[in-house]
Amino acid sequence: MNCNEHENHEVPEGLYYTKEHEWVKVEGDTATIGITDPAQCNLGEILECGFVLEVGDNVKRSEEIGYVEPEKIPSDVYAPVSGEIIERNERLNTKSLEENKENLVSINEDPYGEGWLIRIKLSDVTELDDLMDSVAYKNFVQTEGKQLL
Amino acid sequence: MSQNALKQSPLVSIHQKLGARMIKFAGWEMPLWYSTIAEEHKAVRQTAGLFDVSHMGEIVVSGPGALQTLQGLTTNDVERLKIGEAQYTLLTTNQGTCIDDLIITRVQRKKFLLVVNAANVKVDFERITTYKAPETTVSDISLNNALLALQGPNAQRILSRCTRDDIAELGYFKVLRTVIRGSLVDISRTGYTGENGFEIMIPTNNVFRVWSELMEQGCEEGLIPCGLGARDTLRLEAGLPLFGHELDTEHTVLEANLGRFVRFDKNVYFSGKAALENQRAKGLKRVLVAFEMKQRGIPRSRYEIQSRDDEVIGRVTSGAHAHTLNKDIGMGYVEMSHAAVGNDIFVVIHRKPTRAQIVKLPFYHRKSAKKEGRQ
Repeated sequence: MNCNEHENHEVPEGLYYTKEHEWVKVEGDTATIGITDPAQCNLGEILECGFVLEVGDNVKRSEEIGYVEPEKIPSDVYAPVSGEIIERNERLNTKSLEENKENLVSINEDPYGEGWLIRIKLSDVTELDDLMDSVAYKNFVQTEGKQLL
Repeated sequence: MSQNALKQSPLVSIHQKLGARMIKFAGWEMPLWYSTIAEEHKAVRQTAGLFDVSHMGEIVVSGPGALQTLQGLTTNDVERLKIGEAQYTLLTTNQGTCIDDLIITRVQRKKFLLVVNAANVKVDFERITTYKAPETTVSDISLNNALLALQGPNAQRILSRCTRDDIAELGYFKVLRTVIRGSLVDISRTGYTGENGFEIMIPTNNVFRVWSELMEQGCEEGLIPCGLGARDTLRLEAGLPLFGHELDTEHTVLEANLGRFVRFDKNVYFSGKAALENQRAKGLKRVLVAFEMKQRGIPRSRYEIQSRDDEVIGRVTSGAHAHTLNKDIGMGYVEMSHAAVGNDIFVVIHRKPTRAQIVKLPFYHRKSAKKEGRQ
């Protein structure tokens, strides 16, 4: 897939997006978070994934919640919204488990589905107003231009 | 302040057509990968890979003073080169630290071709011009020349299909001038991957057809295009240094473990000779080591290295996941007292000291890998 062809990237409607290339799916007061299709394309094959917070921890938006390690440059994942960590996608946690390495392909091939990273119970719904919708995010990716490393 | 446009390889339209993921490197826009780094890395070890390295610089030093010029500015012994022979060497400062690493080829008795790192073309050119001996001409011919690297166990067979000359006869670090699809090319048996392979210099105007010929002839031999991403993981596995990482003006060539390319016995004074002799006599305080991660984590350039007692004892210079060895590996400078092979060191990854073990270089050697059936 040619990462320079932005038109080919998936940016589903109905999700919220951040400038750090995370997506947020809101169901009730639960936010599911992952990295976007343009992000995974740019980063390349993900080799490792880790979380820096535990279930039960409270997180403020913009705080680091974890990281992905692609081939070239590690990328931190930040909380787009504040709240309590209620679930981590342990299937993708390679911090301590050798076996999960094959599962990481979900981040590249199914970034909005099986590639989800973390779930947060929202503490402040109004924070969603500061996030982008799919149209704004598509624009953002386009104007950032050919994002060379 | 003016913005310098990125330089583009003459093969840029091919990279775009192939959907390459591009990267900014040393003022150039070059392919980082075409498919994935893992696939390209493995292809070079198992079949063959073709790299566009046209961003690299070429400088010609010629005339009656050329030999003296190069002898005085580099660490290796240029006089040993016969016509058609090449050597790896370093341009050093007066402190014996690295200005660049390069390959010098003796093209004619008084004419030498230098292939240098893209980031250092200007610096190298200026140094050679400033300190050249009388009757020496220095020319930067980088823009007139493109460079391709064809690497892997099938490289020779592929190249043999493309030329009438006998490639098998070409020795290691020797150069042959021949023709590929109507273009004059200079082929050397050199490389940066740890595999058998060749580097092919081509006039810029002809590189398109030479690339095409190689890809066509290489198709059934499993040849695929490979980017700078795989180039980096391959050279790291082979234990080869990279300027800007292991090599820079802060570390001496001895600290970088390149003493075998320093000919103290050549009859000429060269930049840094006194400083290096002094350092050799006193002993190194720090040295470049190779290590393998023993706990999960990918080491990266500039990550801190600590001892077991949380002391900072060094810094990573390069690190990556090694696709042939299936391990995470790296190189870095470490205080001499902690630098023994077998020692545990701790690389700080995501704020956690993560255990690694110092190992002997190279991480990967093609002969031993072949014996073990692991390639």
